[in-house]
Parts: sequence; structure tokens; C-alpha cells
Amino acid sequence: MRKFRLLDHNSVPKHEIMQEDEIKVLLNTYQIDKERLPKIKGIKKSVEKVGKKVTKKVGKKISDKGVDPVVIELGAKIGDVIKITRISQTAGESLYYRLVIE
Amino acid sequence: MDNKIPSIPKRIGSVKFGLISPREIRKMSVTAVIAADTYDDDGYPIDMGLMDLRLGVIDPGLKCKTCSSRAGECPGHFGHIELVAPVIHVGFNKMIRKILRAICPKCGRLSLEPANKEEYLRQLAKLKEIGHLPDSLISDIFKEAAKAKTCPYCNDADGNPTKKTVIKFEKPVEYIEDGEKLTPSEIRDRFENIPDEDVRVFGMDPDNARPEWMILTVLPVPPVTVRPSITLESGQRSEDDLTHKLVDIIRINQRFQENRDAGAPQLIIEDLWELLQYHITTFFDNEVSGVPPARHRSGRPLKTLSQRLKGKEGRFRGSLSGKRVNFSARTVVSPDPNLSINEVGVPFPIARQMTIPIKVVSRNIDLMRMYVARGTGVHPGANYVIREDGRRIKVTDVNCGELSEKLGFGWTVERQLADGDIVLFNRQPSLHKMSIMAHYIKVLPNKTFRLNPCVCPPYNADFDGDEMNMHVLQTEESRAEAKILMLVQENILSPRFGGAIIGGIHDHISGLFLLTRNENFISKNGALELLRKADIRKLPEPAGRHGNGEPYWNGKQIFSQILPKGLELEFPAKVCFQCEVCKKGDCEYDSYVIIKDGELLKGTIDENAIGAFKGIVLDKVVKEYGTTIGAKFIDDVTRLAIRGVMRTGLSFGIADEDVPNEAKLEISDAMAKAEDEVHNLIQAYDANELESLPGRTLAETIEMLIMQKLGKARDQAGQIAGNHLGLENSAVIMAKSGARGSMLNLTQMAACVGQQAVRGERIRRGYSDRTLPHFKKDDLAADAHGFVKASYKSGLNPTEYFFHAIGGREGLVDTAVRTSQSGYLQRRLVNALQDLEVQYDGSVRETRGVVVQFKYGEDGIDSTKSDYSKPEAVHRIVRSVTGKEVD
Repeated sequence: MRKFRLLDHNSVPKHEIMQEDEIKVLLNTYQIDKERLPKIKGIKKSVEKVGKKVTKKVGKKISDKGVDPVVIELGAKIGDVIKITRISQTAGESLYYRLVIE
Repeated sequence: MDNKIPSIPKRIGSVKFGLISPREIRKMSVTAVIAADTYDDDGYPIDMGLMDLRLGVIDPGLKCKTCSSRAGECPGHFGHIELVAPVIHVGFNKMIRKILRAICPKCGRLSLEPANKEEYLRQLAKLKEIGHLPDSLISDIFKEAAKAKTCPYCNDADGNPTKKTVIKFEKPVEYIEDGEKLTPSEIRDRFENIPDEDVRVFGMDPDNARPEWMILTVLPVPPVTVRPSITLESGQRSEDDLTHKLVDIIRINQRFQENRDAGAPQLIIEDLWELLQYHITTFFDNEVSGVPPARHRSGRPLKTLSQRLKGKEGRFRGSLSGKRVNFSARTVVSPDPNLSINEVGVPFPIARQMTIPIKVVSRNIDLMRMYVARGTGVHPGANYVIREDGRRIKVTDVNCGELSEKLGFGWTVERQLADGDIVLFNRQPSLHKMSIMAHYIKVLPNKTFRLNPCVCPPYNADFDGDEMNMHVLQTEESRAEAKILMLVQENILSPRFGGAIIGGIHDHISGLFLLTRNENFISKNGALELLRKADIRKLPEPAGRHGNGEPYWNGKQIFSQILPKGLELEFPAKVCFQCEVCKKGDCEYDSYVIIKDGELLKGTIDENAIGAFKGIVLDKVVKEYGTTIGAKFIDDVTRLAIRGVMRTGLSFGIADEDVPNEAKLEISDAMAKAEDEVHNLIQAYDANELESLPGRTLAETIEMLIMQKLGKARDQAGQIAGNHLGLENSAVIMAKSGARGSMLNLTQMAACVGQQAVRGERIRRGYSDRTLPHFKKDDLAADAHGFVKASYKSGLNPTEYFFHAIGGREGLVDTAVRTSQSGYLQRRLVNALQDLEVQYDGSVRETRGVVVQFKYGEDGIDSTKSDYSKPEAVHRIVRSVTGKEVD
């Protein structure tokens, strides 16, 4: 059992999974498709299907390697876009977006 | 120029990389090379030798037997050498090792379960689709396959799955399995066994790169044009390093063949094989670790293929991304404060050499005729004319008159540089964009480039022998671009911190400091003299009149003349004592600057006002009045300041470090007291009465305390010396105004040099338990560990001098190491970031269009256009329009 949520840590900026309509607005403002967003590593689809128990037993080595801890914490799926609200030296608060990939 | 190779424009659709196959090598080869010789006794190339005429020609007069073109036109053609036995290509050692470990020695299949293979293939396809590099996945695949202890596909003689043994790799090119050396032939056989499907799994494309092609059976011979021979003055031919190496290879290859055909013992065959491997290894790379480099007869290591490509002078960094350029000049720089910051003084001989091409049209034909008629001798003349048909004609004293008359529309005249031309000026190392700026030319006598000392900080130049480069722009577009983007005045503000990087240095600061400080009584003559170059038409009302009715002005009024009208500013000066409650305008040290409507009312001008990097006045003038007025302001500052410092005079000599006797006594008292305190500390330490500080051992604690005490003692000594020297001392003036030097420098000269340190600690190295034999063992006292009580003026005693040398050496080593490290860091950063671009929507993207930052710098602000992100500018406008303060 973890004693605290990862996202509660002081140094971890706020992460949220974006809604479809929000993503549309975002992609529209920058005139890009999803693939042009910065990436963040997520859990593989094939492993997801098998379910959590199997994941732990067999796929642990493959599935968790390099996966961003925040993605696991949020339960984000491949193809989701995560909105990150960072504290910025220059702008006070700045927004950053990442596409979850395999 | 006359016989250009006709070029057919073609678009490159794609570029494919792969391994070259033996078949392809033979196919592109025009001849097998058999003879290990170049020329026969008559100096004619030997047939099927290394200089065979089919491989291309380099001697003028001969024709290539393959393409029948002459030297210069013939691009050269490859030949080949049939190797008697296969040999490993050094460049692929890593890959060969990985594959060897991943496959079954018997059946050659990749040691992975079929399901795994499919999964990996799928992932590879996915990565390719996204456009990511598959490197890390492939290394995972190899790791996974190497783990298998047995082959999943085949059985050995006993019916058990085939065992895999760990294959050891030994530098440079040996593979050992079970204590037995694998020959290149065996390795090649195994690779040939790998099925195509398995090759795909580890990321290779079997159509373009079969693994066995990494083991050479036939060696391509580069064309003669790649390795031209040089004819020395003595008529002797000197061959290229590559040719020498190829001669070796052919010779050994032949001997190998003969020995094998004669049925020589295995030992000799193996020796020859190894020798052939050595020569081919060094042919590719003569710096492989573990292989002695092949040498020339003179003992110089040969420059073989990879040495041609690698490193700073290699093909990529030396010949392709960096090249030598025309229309450039280089000479020593020296200062000239009477030039504008936008100008550069160019010596006469350079201005006469360098040219700008001008197209002759109806508007300028008379002028161009004049230039050509002057020839090359009289200054703004012309050096070349280019006729309509593109023919270049040199202008000489003989033909200048004739050419001038012949000159017609459509010709181009290469005119000499003249005042007002724009050029690029640069000093290496070019670390930021301000290292190359555009200047207007001023042609001057003598032989150095002249520049305004204010532009030293961006170039990081000084005048102790620095040389700088000048590049003359050749097209109208480049000149326009340089003028708009690169002119010095457009770069006054640095994007690094948003402040001025071009501004007063050294004498400019002390000059204005002396001028604006105190009540200066400046006569009319003096005032005019000071403002002579500043284009001032009228003097202001005098500050007052002497007894005899003669008017006088003060320095603040004079300085105000060069400030733009309407400037409003308030800030503490550098000399500010940081009192607890700032009295602002009523500051008794006159160190709070108030400027109202372009007039300096209170305060002294120093580094904080006009210094490069810090100048607040500079920054405000440039941001509010634009770069042109900003540049004019800096020009005026330099001229006024130089005259200002000459009016008072500022000199510094050894006598300026003299401190009165009572000060010396005070200092030595302070020193003695500090030594006593240190002595007490040591006694307490020896008696074990000292309390250790949290997180430190007792020994560390006493070191810290002693360092603290001695540091304080030195500061105290400095204070005493500073007080006695007074504010009129020139060193104090320079230190306080920020012109040059610091109070610490002054302390070291006049009072006490202080503790010498190595890695931030007192000096401890030397003999066992002591630094020098002059001290007792385990002596912790100040003088035994590098505390220098003396000042530079009074002179150091021998032990002090020695410790000082130790500390000084560390400083020197530090700077040497730091510059090389930061240079490499810079190179890596530039390589990583060079393709990023700020888009019009404020986002930063790389070449594929992937966003790197959604807003440049997270706030999307150009620091040179922003007022340090503070609303002061808006407040000021509101104040000046409505007369009310904004809350």
C-alpha cells in the first residue's frame, strides 16, 4: 500500500485526463493532429486487455517498463491526452499537453 | 569555369541505407585489382594495378578507359579485390557480436519463441509508423534472445535441444566460443543460415542488409580520384595513404593465396589470415583500440577511411558544415571611442582589396564609369568588371580607361568598399547571436579594425591582440537583412536577460562618475569642450555665477544634455550604501538617481546607470525611444565620458595603495587578535572542549571556525584600509563606481591577501601531517595552512608565496578545464536545439511539426521587448497623461 497519492506530492504538477471536446479545441488552436503533441509513455494495450492480475504476474516486466508513473496513477489509456498544469518561473502557471502512447 | 559538367536538376525522393553486398561490389567494379603496384618503370599505370586507367584519371592529358572523359570530368570508378578468405569489417563488430549471441549455432535461427517474434515485429512496425527510432526496442530483442540457453527450434545429435554457449568477444576482432576461436568463415556460415524472417525481427531488412554482408569476401577499391597521388618537386610520385594501405592488402592477399595453394601448414595460414585481417581493419579505421596503428615509413600513422571522416577536421565538420569563405578579412582590433557603435573602422589596404558587386543600370552608370576609370589604385575604385556574358575582367591601370568607356547596362562592377557599406563583424568563439553583428564601414588609415569600446562586451573582445573577422555582404537582400536584424543597435538589448549588453565600460563609467559626482564648477569653455562631439546647439541656464560674474555649470547639467527629453527615472546607484531606510532624493551620499523630463536632478551616474549588463538608463532609453536614439545615446555617452575622465584625470600607481602608519598598526592589531582567537580555538580543540556543529566532525568544525575567523579578519583589514584610503583614491573610485576592480582586490593589494584555498579548504597537502617542513606536525595554526597575512604591496614571505602559488595554480587549472567543458556542452546543446523554431502562434516546434513548448518560454514573451514583465511602463504612461498614480 502506498501511503500517499503520487499526485499529492509537492513536486508533481497537476495532471488531468482531457475530455474529447477539450482535446478538439486544443488541436484546433494549434492546427495540429494528436501525433504532433508531446508524448508520454502509457501501458500497452495488449497487456491492458489481460487484466490487472495477469499483468502483475507475467507482463510486469514488459508492461511497466518506462511507463510514466502518473499515467498509471491516473489510469489513462493509450490515445488519451493529459493536461499538465505546471508552476512556471516566467508565467506563474503554464499548460502543457501530452499524448499517451504505447 | 568554361567546361562545366552539365548538371541535370533532379529531386531526391528518398534515401535508403543498407549494407553493400558482395554481388553489388562486383557489379559496380570496373576491374579486379591484382597487381600490388601503381606505375611501371616508364611511369605508366599498370594494368589491373591500383592506378589502372579504368579506375579514373587524375593526370591531365590522359583519358579514362571507362567513361573516356578527361581528368576533372571523370568522377572515378570503383574496382575490387577478391579476398582469399573472409574477413570481419571492424565497423560492424558490435552488431556481429550481438547477432552471434542471439542465434543458434547450428540452425542459425533467432532464439525466440514464434509468438515473441510476432509481437516484436508488430512493435517494430508500430514504431516505424510513429516515426520513432527502434534502437532501444532492438537492443531489448537482442538481450532477450541472448538469454536463451538452448535453441527452441533444433536438436543436437543426442536429440536434446541444441545448447548455446556464451560467445566471448575479444578486442579487436576475435570471437571465442568455448575456448575456441571462431574464424570469420565460420561466423559467415552461421549468418548465412539465418532465415530472412528472423533477420527482420532484429530490425534489419534482408533485401538491403543480410548479416553475412558484414563479413567481407570482396573488398571495394576506391577510385583513383579519392586517393590522388602527388608529384613532388623532385619529380618523384608520392602516393596517398589509402593507396599504401591497398598495396599492403593486395600483397598479403597474394601471399595468402600462394601459401594456401602450396598447402602450407595451418599455423602459417592462420598467421597470414590474421595479417590480412589487420590490414583490412586499419584500412577502414586506423584508430581501433587494441590494434597498433599502421604507420607510414616516416613513422606517421596513416590517415585511412574513418580518419578522413571523423573529428573536427574530418569531412563532415571540416569540409561540409564548415568551409572557408571568400570576401572576408581578419586583423587585430583596437579601440576608437569617436566611432559610433554601429561603425567599424576598416584599414585602407583591406577596403581596397574587398569588393561589392553592383549591377550597372541607367541610374548608376555614370558613377560606375567613374569607379572603373579610377582603377584599383585610387580609393573608391573598382577591382573587376563582369561583362554581360559573365566574363570577369581584372581592372588594371592599363585597361581602366578603356573598360570605363565600354561599360554598358547589364555589366557588373566589383566596386571597392567605401564609407557606409554594411559588413558583418565577428569574433570567435561565436557563442551567442551578438558574436556576429552588422556594422557600417568607416575607411581609416593604418592596419587595424577600429571599434567603439562599448561593443566589446557582446564580442567579449579586448585590445591585447585580439583579432576579428569581417565579411562583406554580396547581395542586396543580405544587406537588407543584416541592416534590419543584425545591426549593432538592434542588438543593444540581450535576449538572455532583457537588459543592455552594449554599454559603458571602464573609463566610461569612471568618467561619468567623476563628472556627475559633487558640485563641479565647469566654465563655459569646459562645458563646450565636454559636449563638443555631442551635437548640442545650446547650453542650458548656468547653475550659478562665480564672484566675478563668470557663469558655471555642474556635471549633472552637462550629462542631462545627452539624455532624451521626457525621460523619467528613479533608481538607486551602484554606490548606494543600502541604508535601512532609503532617504531617496535626500540621500547624503548622492546615490539615489532621479531623472525628470530628461534632466538628471539627483544622484551620481555609475555602472547601474550606463554600464553594460546593468545600465538602467540605457535600458530605458532603448526600450522607450527605440534603437536609433539608444545607439546615439551610447555614442554620446562614450564621447562625453572620455572627455569627462580626461578633465579630472584618473591614474593609479603603487603609491595609491599606501596606507598611513596608524592604519598599518590597526591592521596588524586585527591580525594579531584573529591569530589569538584561532590559537584559542585550537587549544579548545586539543583539550577536547570544542562542540562539533551539527552534521560535522570535530575536525571539520574547527576547520570551519578557523576559516570563518580568518575570513572575518581579512575583511576587517580591508575595511580599515578602505577607510584610510578615502573616497578620493582612484582605486576606490573605480571599485565603488563599478568601473573596474572590487574592494576585495583593493584589500589584497593594500591590507591582507587572506586565506589561500584548494577546493574550498585550507591547504593541507604536502608532507605527512604538515604542509611544509617549516611547521610542526599537526600544526593547525593559520600560517601553517596557507593564510597570507601580508598584502601584495608589503610583499609575501617565502611560505606565504608558496601557498599563494598553490592557490593560484588551482585557479588556472580550473579556468582551463571549465572553458573546454563548457565548449563541449555548448556544442551538444546547439546540436540538440538547432532545428527548433518559434512559430507565429507562439509555440515552439521541431522540424516534424511536433510541439516542444506550447508557448515560447512558457509565457511567450520576448525579453528584449518586455519591461522585466513589470507594469511600470504602463504606470508611467498613465501618470504622464492623467497626472495620477496608478494603484
